[in-house]
Amino acid sequence: MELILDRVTKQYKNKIAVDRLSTTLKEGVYGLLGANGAGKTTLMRMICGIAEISSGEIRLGGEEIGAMEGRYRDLLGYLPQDFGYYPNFTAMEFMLYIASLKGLNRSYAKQQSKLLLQKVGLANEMRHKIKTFSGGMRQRLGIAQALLNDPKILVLDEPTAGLDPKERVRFRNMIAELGKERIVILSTHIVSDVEEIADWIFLMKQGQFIAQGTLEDLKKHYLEVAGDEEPEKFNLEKLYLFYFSEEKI
Amino acid sequence: MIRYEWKKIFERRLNVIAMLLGYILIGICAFNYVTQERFYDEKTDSYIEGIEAIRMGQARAKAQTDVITEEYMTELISEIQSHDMDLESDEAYMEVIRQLGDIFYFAAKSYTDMRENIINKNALRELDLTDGARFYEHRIEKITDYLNCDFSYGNYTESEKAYWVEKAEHTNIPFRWGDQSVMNYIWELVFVGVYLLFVVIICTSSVFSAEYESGAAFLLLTTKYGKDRMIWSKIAVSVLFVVGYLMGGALLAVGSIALVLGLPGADLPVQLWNSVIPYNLTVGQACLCNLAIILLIGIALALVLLCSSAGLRSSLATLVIGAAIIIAPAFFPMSKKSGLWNHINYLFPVRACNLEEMMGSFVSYKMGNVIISYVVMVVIVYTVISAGALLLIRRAFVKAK
Repeated sequence: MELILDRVTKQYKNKIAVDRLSTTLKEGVYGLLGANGAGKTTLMRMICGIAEISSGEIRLGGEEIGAMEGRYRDLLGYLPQDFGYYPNFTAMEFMLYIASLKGLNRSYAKQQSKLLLQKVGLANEMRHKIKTFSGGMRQRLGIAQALLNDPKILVLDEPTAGLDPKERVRFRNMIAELGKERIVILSTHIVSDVEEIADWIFLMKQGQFIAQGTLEDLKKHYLEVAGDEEPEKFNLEKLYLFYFSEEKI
Repeated sequence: MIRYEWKKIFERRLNVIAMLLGYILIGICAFNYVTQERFYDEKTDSYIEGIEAIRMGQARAKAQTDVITEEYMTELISEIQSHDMDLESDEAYMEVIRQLGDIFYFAAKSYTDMRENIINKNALRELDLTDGARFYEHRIEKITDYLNCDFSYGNYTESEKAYWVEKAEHTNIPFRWGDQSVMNYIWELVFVGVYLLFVVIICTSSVFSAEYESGAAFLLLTTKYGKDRMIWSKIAVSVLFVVGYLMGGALLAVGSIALVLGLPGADLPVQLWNSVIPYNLTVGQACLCNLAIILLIGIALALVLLCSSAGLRSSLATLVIGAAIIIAPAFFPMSKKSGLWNHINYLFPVRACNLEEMMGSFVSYKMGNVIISYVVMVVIVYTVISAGALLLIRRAFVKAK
């Protein structure tokens, strides 16, 4: 399965948020790194079909995703950044609601919801109202709902935001596992998350990929552009700071 | 899916408070209408209040007549004229009017010129009874005179005049007479239903916008059925809510009164409110008709607000728009020059919900050779608005920004 981004552009009046991005994504974990306003969320929304593409196209298996409509959304799992949960729903109700929107039958949805809530460590809280949850618990619930339909494309916008260090480690492992059989695209501010789990990293700035590749590729790139003489001390943070040190992260 | 959309409406505290306040208002009005009724008892020279007053009013109406015949009206007006006093005076009220009750006002209104806004009681005093009261003949003459008047905003066309006169002539006569007080309360309560439209506004304004305000829309729209089935579920739940809530209000209003007093007078003709009304309806049917119109307007309003909620993505802006749709037209004056404006003005919810006033106003809409009565026009307009809004909601909600 290939998700192809072909000169994808998003323009808001005079501002170009995403500028002619092209790449091909296959099974694996893709990390998007960039400062605020780099275009990460816009790009993710375009991949999810909820932001209109100004020019270019996104294709899955050769078919334009807009034309695939429900068939594409059926393959998609999405965790938006800072999205509102329904405070008076219980975790289980929320999962079942999303499951019904994803077209899962009720008995399967129940079974899958229990399984996923267990996986994200919310099994004991499934009957509790979401308004009683901490930020981290809500985030875990968000990830659980994204997995309900066993998506082939999983888009996670800041999935580790609000998680404590222990939860983050658990999460990284889970995402790495998920990336073995699907396309996982995640954006984050936390450089170490991407460094740990992403098979391929995109550095975004002003709507463009300014660097991309495996961690090893990016190391080579850094040594070239920064002229660092201590390659053994390289980490992704260095590259990140090299590009974004003057911007708000 | 419906279950969860339903839950979302009821999980908002503001919605629940508004719903309860709406029903409390109905309950208070029902209680007030009944307890404030007064009846003057000649025997004891005192006023009786509440349910007993209603029962005595019913007995008086029964004793007066069963049917408004020419003979009865002649006799009644002759009796009124025999007092030879200014019927607008306090003395006339004490000696004549309060003893006769509703039938006096019915007779006086029937002989008052249609262009006058208040009942001319002295019209009965000045009436020439040489050929009797000519009640039904006079009714048609009164309507014809009105239709032939010169109006600064435009006159009735010949075809419109013929349409209304024919309708008036086909009204079932003679009118049956009876006490209408209970049905009048119910009518008033049905009209109070207009206030429940504010609850409809509050509860529907956030249906779509709340999803954007919370950010959940971005998730919902990426699900398989987020762009179709979910939207239809929201619409279906909103319409069901409007119908259920307004019907609940109607049941509360009618039920609370009917439990105590029954529904006497439901089968009386609507002409007892205003003899010129050219529709063959009973008071009960008119109440149902008005309720149906309020329901239709409620549904149309909800759909327009859903559209606004989906497009503007702001509950507050939608709430303001909804309130403006209901409140602002109440302050729109009738034009002295533009008949077109007046015809549009009649169609705003606040007027369209008050069928009693509109039924006796001879408002019709001429489209080429076709004349559409006011009630039918209200139904057409709000059905078209509903259909238009329905088509736009999905587009507004899924439109990517």
